[in-house]
Order: sequence, then C-alpha cells, then structure tokens
Amino acid sequence: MTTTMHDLAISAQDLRCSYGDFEAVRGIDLAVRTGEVFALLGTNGAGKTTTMETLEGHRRADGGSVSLLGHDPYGERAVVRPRVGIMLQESGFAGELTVAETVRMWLALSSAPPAAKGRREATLTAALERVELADRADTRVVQLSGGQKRRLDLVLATINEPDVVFLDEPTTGLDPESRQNTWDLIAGLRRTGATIVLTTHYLEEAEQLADRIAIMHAGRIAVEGTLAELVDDRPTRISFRRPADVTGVDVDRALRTILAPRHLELDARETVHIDVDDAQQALVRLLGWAEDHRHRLEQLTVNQASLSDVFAQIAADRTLQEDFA
Amino acid sequence: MSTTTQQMSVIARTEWRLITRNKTVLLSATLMPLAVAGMIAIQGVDQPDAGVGMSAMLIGLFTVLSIYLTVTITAVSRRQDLYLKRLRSGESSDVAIFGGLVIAPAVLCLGQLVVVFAILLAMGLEVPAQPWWLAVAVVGAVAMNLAAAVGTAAITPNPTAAQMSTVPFFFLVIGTLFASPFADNRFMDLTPGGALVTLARLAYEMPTPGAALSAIAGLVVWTAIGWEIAKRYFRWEPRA
Repeated sequence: MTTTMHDLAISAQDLRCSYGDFEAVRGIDLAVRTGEVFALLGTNGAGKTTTMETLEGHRRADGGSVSLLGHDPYGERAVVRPRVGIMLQESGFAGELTVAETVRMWLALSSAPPAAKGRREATLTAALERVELADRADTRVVQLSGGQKRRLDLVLATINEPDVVFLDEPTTGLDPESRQNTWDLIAGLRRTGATIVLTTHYLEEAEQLADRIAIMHAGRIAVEGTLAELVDDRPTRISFRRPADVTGVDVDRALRTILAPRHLELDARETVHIDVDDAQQALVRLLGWAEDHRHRLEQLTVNQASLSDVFAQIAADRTLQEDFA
Repeated sequence: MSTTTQQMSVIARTEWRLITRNKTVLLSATLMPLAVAGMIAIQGVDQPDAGVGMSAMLIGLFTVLSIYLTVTITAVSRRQDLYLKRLRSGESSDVAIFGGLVIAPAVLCLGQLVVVFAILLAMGLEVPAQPWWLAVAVVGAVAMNLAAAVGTAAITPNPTAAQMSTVPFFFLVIGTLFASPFADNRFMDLTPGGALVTLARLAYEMPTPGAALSAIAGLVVWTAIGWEIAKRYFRWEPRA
C-alpha cells in the first residue's frame, strides 16, 4: 500500500537530537499514518522519549525535519496543540489540587469542544468514570497512588478528544486490571479515528495494541513494520529433550544434515533447540528421523518467533556491533 | 480559541488557590505587613524624613521578599515537579504560563503594600507631595523583581540551590537600599535600592543627587538583565 504525505499524521526525516556532545537520536525516519496505533519500543536510553518529545514539540530537533499534522510541532506549537493530547512519562501535577480541580483547570485551558464551558462538568464526570477515578474526584493529587496518577495523566491526554495522542509508557505502574482498562481505552480512542503513538516497555502491550511497531536501539530505528512483518523472517524454534538413547554429538550431526537449521544447540538442561525457517517441513523431517530411529522426543514444543525474540536479538546484535565498532 | 489572557487567568487563579492552601505561606503573607508596620510604629512615623526612608524600604523589602524570592522558588519548584512541562504539553502559551505564575505573588505583594501603607498613614506617616513617584517606584520594583526572579530561576538547577542563588540579588537590593542615603552619588540610581530611594525622595520633594530619568533607567536595566537571562537560559524541565 502506498502512503502519501496526506495520509501521514506524523513524519520525520533524518531526525537528530543531542544532549551536549551526546547524540541521543541519530538520524531516524518515521511515518505514522492517520488513525493508526504506532508503538515505539526500545531498550533504556534508546532514544524513545527524546524522539517522542521532539515529535510532540517539547524539543527542537537538532537535525532533520519533523511534521505533526502538517506543521512543525516546535515552531507552530500554538497551531498543533489544540489537536494533540500528550501523556508524559512522568506526571507533573500540582499536588495540592484535587483530581477534579486538576481536570477543570485543564479543560479551562483548552479550546476543544469537550472543554466548552457548558460541557465541562459532564466531560469531567465522564472522563473520571472512564478511568475509575470518579470516587477520587475530591482527593488531592498528592494523595493518589502512582497508578492513579497515571490514570489521571491519561484523562488529561485524551479528554479533549485529540486527533493525535502521544502516550509515553501509559501503563507503567498500573496493576493488571488497570492496564487492561487502559488498553480498552486506547482501543476505544483508536475506534474514534485518533492517531496514537505510544512507547512502552511491555512488549505484549505493543503486540495487543499497535498496528505498526518500531524498535529503537542506540538512537536508531533497528526495525519497523507490522508485528507479522517483524516476526515473519525470524526462525521458528523447535525444542525437545535429548532422547536418552542417543548422544548429543549424534543428535547434532544428524539434525544438521536433515534439517539444515539456522541454529542448533544443546543447552545445559539437555534440551535441544533448533531454529528453522520452515517449521512444517522441519517437523516432518524431525519426526521421520525420530520414527526411523525409534527415539521418543519428550517435551516437544514449537514456538513461533515473538516480538520478544525480535527485541532481544536486536539488542544483542547491536550491542555486539557497537562493541566491535 | 482560548486566548493567552484567559489561559493566564486560569493559571493565576490556580496559583492563588495553591498559595491559599499553603498555611505557612498564607500566615507569613498576612503577618509580615503587620509585623513590619508594628516595628515601624515602635520607631515612630513622625520623625523628620521618615516618609522617604520608610517608603523606599517598604517597597524594596516587600517586592524582594514577596515577589523575587517567592517567584524564584515557585518557578524552580514547579519546574522540578514537572508542572511547567505539564502546562506546556497543553495549549497554554509560554507567556500565559509565565504570566499565570507571577500574577498571584505580584497581587499578594501589592495587597501587602496597600495594607502596610494604609496602617502607617493612619498612624501619621507624612503623605507624599508627589505620590505618583511612589507609584512609579512600585511598578518598577515589581517589574524588576519579576524579571530578576525568572532570570534567577533560569540559572537555578533545583529548589535547594534556590536558597543560595537568590542571595546575591536579595542583598544587592537590601544593601543598596541601606547604602543610598549615605552614598550621595547619582550613580546609585543604577542600583535597585538606589533607584527606589531616589524615587521616594522625589515623591517627598526631598533634595536628591539622583534624577527621575536615571532612577527609572536603573530599574529598567535590571529588569532587562533579568529578562535577558531568562530568555537565554530558562528551561521548562529540570536539567538532566
């Protein structure tokens, strides 16, 4: 599918950001389509938050160009902000205000239709009920738990029904129930047509929510695509306990010949791991070999590559590359 | 669209609410003018030339305490708490955020000055012959202290450091307020305290080595210095 500039809510070309001499973002290209959920993943210090903050307009890019809804998010902040919702990585509330006062202040600072004077109280009530904070409306923010503050953060980011929502680690510190609730809210936002960019350390969050995923490492985007695209060219892993009636050396020799695997190893727990591209063909041959030699393959498992595998491999590969650079 | 004025008003009302919820701040803000008025009353308000010294001292003292120190510490704390970044993640303009933060302390300071001057006039303090020079002094001192506060906040990394970073300007104001009557030199107009003393002398038609223009220029220069430092170095979030 071809994507025109018109379809893009956010784009960046050769984006670079530095802190003094340290270049945190080293020339990345990004294109987020209107209405999609785009997840930005990466190891700690990969440059996710710096990238997010530059896309949001909190930081000026040190190189390259950024477009948010067709505008420069830093230079034309006043134009884009009414259409954007931002959930920061860390809260930033006036602790002595109550939850309701915080939301009221936010609505009063907004020009969006849900913040219109006559609608404010209804908007406030509905928003707090959505994130299960209605019973904490009169509680001072300083008395909220970390998870409750994250939920209040989410309210402020989404209450104005923005066209683009940036969510920086939206579920960090949330219990499983609240996390699921947040995922439902994000899914609901997506159904309204909002474009969502999120960073997260929870890979299952990206798998659940994102249409496309980019994984950053050391200031660069290592891979980008749909979940299927990211895992499709990764091998499937077949594992089983080494049969007692055959040595490790014999297993290794035999399976390398008949399967031609990408990778084969026998771990310390006597489990054989074989990484193959065509799992079906490899299974047929493996079971044939076992049948012919009357080996029983205990604890046989077949695992499709996951986002976690992709993530781990990128981190490991890139670390090696940097070590030898 | 929500205008800058509306946004400033919302942020200022929030700041006011935060001030009134802080019992320590509220108590000291209320007690300070009363305590100062009481101390002056003990010294006597009917001494010769008392009006000049007291007016300059009150304007200098109240603006440096209630505006300079308060705004510096508020700005640094709000930045440390990421509250400024939060405000900036919404629609509020930078002017609205700055304005909203400083209006409440400025109004509080003006209220304190009105109360203490009212008490002292009721006790017999001489009424100035040309009171508009005092009004100029108040406006100039408020502007100078606001700019100096934002400038100081720009170079102050955290609230703890604000205890030290505010000391130089604080003593500059207080020191030059006390020194001016003894340093009959027109260049004293270029100091924060000296400018206020000259304007107070003009208000009470007392001979002065300074002049209105140089005194106003002094206040404008200090305001410009503070504002320039703020423009160059102010950050909206804590330094990494």
